[in-house]
Amino acid sequence: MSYTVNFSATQALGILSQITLTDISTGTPPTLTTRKVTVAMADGTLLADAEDWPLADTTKAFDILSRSVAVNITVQWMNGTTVVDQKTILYCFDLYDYIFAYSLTQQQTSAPTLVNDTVYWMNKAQFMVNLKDAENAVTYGGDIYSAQNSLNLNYNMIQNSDKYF
Amino acid sequence: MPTVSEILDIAAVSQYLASNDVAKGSLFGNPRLRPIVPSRIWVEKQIIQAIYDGDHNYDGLQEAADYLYAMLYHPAQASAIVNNSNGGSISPITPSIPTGIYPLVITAADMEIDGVTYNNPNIVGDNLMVFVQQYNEEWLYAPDFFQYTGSGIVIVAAGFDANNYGNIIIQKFNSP
Repeated sequence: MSYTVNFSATQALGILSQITLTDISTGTPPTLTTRKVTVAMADGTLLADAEDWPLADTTKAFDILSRSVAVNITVQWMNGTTVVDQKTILYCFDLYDYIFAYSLTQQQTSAPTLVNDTVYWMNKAQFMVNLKDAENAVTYGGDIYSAQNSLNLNYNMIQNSDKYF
Repeated sequence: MPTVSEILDIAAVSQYLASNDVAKGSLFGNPRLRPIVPSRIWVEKQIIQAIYDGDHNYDGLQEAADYLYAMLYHPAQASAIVNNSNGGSISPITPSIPTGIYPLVITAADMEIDGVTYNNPNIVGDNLMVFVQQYNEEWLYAPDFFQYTGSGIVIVAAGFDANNYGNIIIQKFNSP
């Protein structure tokens, strides 16, 4: 049975800075020695540059995030220095933004009238729309640039939260 | 108070109820509630749903969900909609086998290439009689002229070939 390479990547609430890759390849593998992982942002910035992912590890965590990003993750299955096969998948890791929005909600529980502030509410709504825009750009558009642009708008709001919220 | 999961389900319906009433208020010139209410519900629900999907037991999640519940529009009605299993149903219509096909007029072109076999699921199970133009001008019956098969009939009269005759009329008799 031929070998079909594949992987999945997840970000967990517990450790927002980590993404965990899982090898979900199927079939009979050819001779392999290791895997290499590259994580690239829309502007070409490499969060991981050919990082080693040993064959013995079905899953591996990469501690590379500091904010919400849309990235292309490329995994190469190697035999020595030869790339036997590779796969690239676009992901949107946006839990940083959800946690920030959640912190706003928690503030509201102790100060319910906060939502009556028009500026506060419009900015929070815009924040969530940006999140959905980023997710949709990845899910339906395969568009890393639009996704990252939306996340960048949110990053600005987070960095200047005292002005926006 | 409802659980986080229940509140999220109720919030989805409440958002719809709020959107509906905002629309009705605009249509009839009688505002029922502030237009911002549906979007508020949507925003908070998205946040709590994302956290819940990541960790059902995330710190402070129930309190945040309770806050969402407190801001819902018509939560009791929304809860009744979510939990109501008697909202009515549409019984599927079972299509009936068409019965208005008789008398069925066929030719050799409708039969199998052997000139004696006719397959049609709509005639299976019916009592049939067959009239063949230019054959003997009589209604012909099973088992002497033809026999029933699981998919139609096969003409067993010796030497018969439908290609040598005109129309073949199949009629039902004494069948419900």
